[in-house]
Amino acid sequence: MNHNYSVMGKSVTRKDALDKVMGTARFAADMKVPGMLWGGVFRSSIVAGVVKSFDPSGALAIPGVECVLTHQDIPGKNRIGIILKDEPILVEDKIRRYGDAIALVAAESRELLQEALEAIRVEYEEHEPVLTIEQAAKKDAPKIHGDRNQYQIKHLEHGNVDEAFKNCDVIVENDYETPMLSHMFIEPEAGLAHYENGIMTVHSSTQNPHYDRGEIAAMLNLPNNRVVSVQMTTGGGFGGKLDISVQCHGALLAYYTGRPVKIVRSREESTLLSSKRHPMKLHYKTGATKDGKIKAVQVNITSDSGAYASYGPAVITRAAVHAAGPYEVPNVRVDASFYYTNNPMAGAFRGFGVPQVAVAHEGQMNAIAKKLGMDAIELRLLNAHRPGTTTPTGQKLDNNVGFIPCLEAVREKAKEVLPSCIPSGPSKRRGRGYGCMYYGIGNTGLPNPAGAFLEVLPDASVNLMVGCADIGQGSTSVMAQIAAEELGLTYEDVHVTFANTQVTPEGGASSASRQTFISGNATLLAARMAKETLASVAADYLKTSADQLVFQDREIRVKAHSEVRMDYGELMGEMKRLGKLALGCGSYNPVTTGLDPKDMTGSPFEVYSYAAALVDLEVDIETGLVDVLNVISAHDVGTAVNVHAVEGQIEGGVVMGTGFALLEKTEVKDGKITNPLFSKYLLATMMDVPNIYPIVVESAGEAGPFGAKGVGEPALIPAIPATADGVENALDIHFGKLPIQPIDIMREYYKKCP
Amino acid sequence: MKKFTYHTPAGIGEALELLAVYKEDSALVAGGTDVVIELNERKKTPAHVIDISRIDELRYIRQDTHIRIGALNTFAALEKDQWIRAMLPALHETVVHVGSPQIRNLGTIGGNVVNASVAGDSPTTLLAYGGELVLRSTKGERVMTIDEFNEGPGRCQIRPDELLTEVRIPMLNRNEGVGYFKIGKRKSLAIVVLAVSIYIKRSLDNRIEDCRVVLGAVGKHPMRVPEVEAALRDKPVARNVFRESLPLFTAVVQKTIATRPSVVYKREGVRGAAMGCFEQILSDFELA
Repeated sequence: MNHNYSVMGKSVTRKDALDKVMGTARFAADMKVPGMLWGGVFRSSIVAGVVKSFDPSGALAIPGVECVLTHQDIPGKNRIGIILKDEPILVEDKIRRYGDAIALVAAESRELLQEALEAIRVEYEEHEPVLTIEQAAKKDAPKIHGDRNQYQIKHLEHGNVDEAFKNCDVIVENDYETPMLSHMFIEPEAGLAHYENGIMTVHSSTQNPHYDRGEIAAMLNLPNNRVVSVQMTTGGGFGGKLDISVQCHGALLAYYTGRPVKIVRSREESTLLSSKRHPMKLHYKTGATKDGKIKAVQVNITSDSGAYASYGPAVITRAAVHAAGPYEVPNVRVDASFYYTNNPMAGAFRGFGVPQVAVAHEGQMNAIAKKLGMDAIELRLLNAHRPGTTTPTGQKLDNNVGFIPCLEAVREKAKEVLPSCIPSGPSKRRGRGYGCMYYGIGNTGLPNPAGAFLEVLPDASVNLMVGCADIGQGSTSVMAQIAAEELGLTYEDVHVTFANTQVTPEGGASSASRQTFISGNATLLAARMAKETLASVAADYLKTSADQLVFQDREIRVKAHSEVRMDYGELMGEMKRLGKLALGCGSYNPVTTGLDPKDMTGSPFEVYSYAAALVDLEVDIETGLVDVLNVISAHDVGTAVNVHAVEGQIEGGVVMGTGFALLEKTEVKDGKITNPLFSKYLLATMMDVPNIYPIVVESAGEAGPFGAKGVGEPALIPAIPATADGVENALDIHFGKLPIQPIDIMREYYKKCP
Repeated sequence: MKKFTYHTPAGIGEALELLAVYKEDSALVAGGTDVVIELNERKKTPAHVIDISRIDELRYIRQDTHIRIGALNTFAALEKDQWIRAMLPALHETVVHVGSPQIRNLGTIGGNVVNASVAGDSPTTLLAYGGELVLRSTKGERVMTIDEFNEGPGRCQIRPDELLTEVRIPMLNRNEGVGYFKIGKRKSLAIVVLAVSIYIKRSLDNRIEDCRVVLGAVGKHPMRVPEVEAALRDKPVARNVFRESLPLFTAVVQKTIATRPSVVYKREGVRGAAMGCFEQILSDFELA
């Protein structure tokens, strides 16, 4: 795009970079205050049952143990949950999963806390656990909550699927399966709570401090403005820090003891308790004409959502909406259902179900291409979303669609950088794979506003206050760039206070790739409001009208006569003389409609991001090891606010995507995760990183701030199906089930070539 | 971690005295990459922890009739040692694939041997090299082969009052070659899924005069494979001979771990790993 921007699109140094590089950034676990106690949780060692007797006397007898609390000590509501309030803060009626919180302990030291937790005695009455979907679906199965385990059912109907299949020349039908995954964010959850002067303050590692505030307030029966929730520097989240972790437990202990209480989860506790990626079983039937037009897609999805809903309702809705992929398909039917079981809680994880459906819809596209003998990119170009396309929810897309340029960019880059497809040795098989996706920015068909406050100070520096939690993705710097561009100031002029409920307005969750678009728009509106005051003063001073002014590079110029100008210093002096303040506030809620419960018709998102990826890899047929060599990943982000930051997101996403396809899997036995540690849960390491060619594609459209959309989750998604496709092409074997590990490769390869 | 008394002997003599007193009541820490985890998880709850990491006299690498490696050499030290790299290329290949740089900076070869993990990196290679271990106590010194030493998993012949001081390998000549190949699930920080190490001594007419074929992470400790060794003996040192032996590797793995789920992978993967070893040996003998 050809814009005359001063700050937008520039690869500025992130506001948090220096502190993180120097090791001076303060995380919640680093906090130490006088009089501080250590808090911890006594957790269930069974997956289903009730507490028959509970005896804390052993713990209370230890000098230095301050208190032991149970559900009876909660003054307000003992129910939390981002969408459905189905999770107790402390177990009240029954235990639903391994590790459910039964009691809280506060002690003078970490060692005493450990001793106290071990001194608590409990007797359980164990119940038969529900550990599979099949078990959960049975009529007489024990119910995890309420009167049915199938707690979410979605049906999407678009066009006439049955009729369309009759007129298809080719039909492919396949099963896919994706694993339960752990986020493995580098910083385990931690927080410090302090109750003083009637105000509960909780500092924590979180993706959504405003949500946390509401849950803490409801638990303590305090008004929302008596609870202050502050996000500390957060070492990654990927969706795993959207649920309440230590916030309510810490607050309850601080409320009772009157002393500051710190809780720091161990890696094991963190991984056992934080939400997981929904493992999904997907059945796809896709029909096309012989010239490659996709005519019909029919999808069936089931998932084990575990003991609590968490973000499950959002995951199922988003999966259903995106199930057909970024293609114009006139006839689509999706049936999806999620079940409660006694397994670990599944919730939000980078992509909310879209990575799972992308594995399937891309697997189908690749299968159709093979069946028709068509080039994989040509097939996609033929069916690609473009401006004016109607989606399976009946939404007509505007001009903010850049999928075709992504496909073309990947094809061009491949010609330029990829070597010929020759294996490096006799035991090697080389393969290339393709994967694409589209992703709606923001919550699916639901209101999800964010706000911003802004003040331009007398020296022309700016205070910007946004609710948006920066968990490492770089939103703080993005907001500063947007405000600076609008005000005609520099990036360095803007200081951002973020994710502190005492001073920042609602930001909503740092999830759904929504903050650049939504908090970004709120920031733009706040800057615009402050600028209106500034412009009226400048217009009088320069004897012109406000709409004739350009604010850029710390100057205010008259459009047609650029020699008529004033600098910001003069303007702020004039503001002072007139007794005016440059204040702004903004809030933005994406323009969407709710989805019809009957067939999911509606416009659930205002904008969508698009992406296409190519993975070039080699499989060793003697060891089953896969070497991912080159990845090209092109992303339509509308406008890149910070090009390096976007490229960084893409690179990180590619590595996580190859790990999803080849390595990662959360192992669960009898409801308990058996690999909660980095030594047993294998992530791709730096040594596994391929050559990555990130490509930033900018599409038209003005809905976002300066046209920006989002890339946080899209960055991950296309590399997953592309890696799987690469392995399948190298070996000419269909897997469908991820991850594809060496054992799977050897099993299938020697089945085929004994 | 349970409370314990912490000792830091400065020399071998002092360490042996402490071991003689505390015996089973103590745990030895060298690099700590295995023991500290066991202490944290309370799999070990000793009253005394003897940290031998300050005994610098156990960090030597010497050569006489044997190549003698002090037990406290870290993997990083072995990795950087040019002489080890030139003389014992398969050991070098082994140590560079242990864990991560951080683990290699701390972990020692002695600790790796005594820990006797099923998936330990170096014992497989040391067995192929015909390595011996020197164990000392206040009562004297014992020398045993890796074969005799291993009981696994997690068990070996060391007595509670003994300290492993040295790993030694007989000097090799130009007609002896060793290969090592490890399969892990990713390129670094990966435990051994399967490892193969092979030693071959060739005669003047280029026949296999002697050989040792060792599988790691298949049995409960690194194991010699007599079936393959017998089949190779007296055959020419040649790629086609090696290729022809591969089905035997599969048969041995199948027989050894028939009921384990991983057999599906290991019985196939072992051929790739074995061929990787053979290729290194062919390259050592300039026959590649």
